[in-house]
Amino acid sequence: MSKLTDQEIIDRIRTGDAYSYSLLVDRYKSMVFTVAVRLLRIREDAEEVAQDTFCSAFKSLHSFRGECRFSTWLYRITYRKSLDQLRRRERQRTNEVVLAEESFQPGFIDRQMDRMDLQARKRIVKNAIGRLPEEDALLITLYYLSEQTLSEISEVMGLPVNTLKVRLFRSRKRLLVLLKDQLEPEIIQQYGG
Amino acid sequence: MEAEENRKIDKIVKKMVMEAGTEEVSEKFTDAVMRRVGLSGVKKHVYSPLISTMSWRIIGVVIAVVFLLLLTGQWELSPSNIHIPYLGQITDWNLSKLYTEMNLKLKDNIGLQPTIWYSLLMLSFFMYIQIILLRRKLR
Repeated sequence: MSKLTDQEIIDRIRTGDAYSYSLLVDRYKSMVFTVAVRLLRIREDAEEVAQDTFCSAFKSLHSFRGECRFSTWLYRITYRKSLDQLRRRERQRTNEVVLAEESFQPGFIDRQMDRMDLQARKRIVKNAIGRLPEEDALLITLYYLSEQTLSEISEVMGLPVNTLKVRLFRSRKRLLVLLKDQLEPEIIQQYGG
Repeated sequence: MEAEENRKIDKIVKKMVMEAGTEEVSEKFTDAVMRRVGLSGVKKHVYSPLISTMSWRIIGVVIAVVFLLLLTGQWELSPSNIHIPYLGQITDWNLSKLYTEMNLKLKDNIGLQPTIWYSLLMLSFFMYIQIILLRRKLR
């Protein structure tokens, strides 16, 4: 049985089969939640925002014209809702870590990561992404995980593509610096330190 | 040199981020969303068959009876004379035209070759297996 495309599911919903919306929720829930987690950092808040996102998307589905991918449209709603939540929280941005553009060797990080088991690698990467500034974490997630193009991310975040390019370049380097920071104690621990 | 390093960084970051994957929502997430949008839950797809079970049973019994009668030779088909056991002789039916045109050669028994019988048997068997598999898949 072939998988229905997003547009086919949307057409079904529009013609009265509202229950088909659960297919879209199942398809995008993890990614929407991840986007919210990257920005909000608190899982409970992120789940609330993710649910709000799907509710809003359902209500305004009639306004989705198919000019962009459904996922892009959905992530844009998630992004706005997360920002609203952040404003409400008026949280102090304590995690703006100023990272020195120190020299590091990407090959070293890659080799060390290869030596670890999968769960440890996942934990380290997620921790490192979590330590990035929110919008950098989101950018990395959208670009690498949901494979959105920079122009699609530009629609989601409302930033020019060139700005995003520079930001992505810096975010990648920051992420590697953070990974290196996290890897060192891990390696010491592995060697019985 | 710098471009080369950037490509390397891009590759490493991509590999790591993809491997780390997405965050997982709670199990009841979809149900919660569907409730919030006013739909009681995830749709259960119910496939109703075009032909009901009872109809299939009746068709099956009829076919089985016809084959049994034909095989045992109790039902005789001839151009103008059909004898159905327990129902008596039907002589008014005129099948001669049909018999000629379609070149029907049903005699007292069905004289099919063993190969045809094996083929029919195998076909029934495969159809039966397919029905079981399809039913499992649709569930």
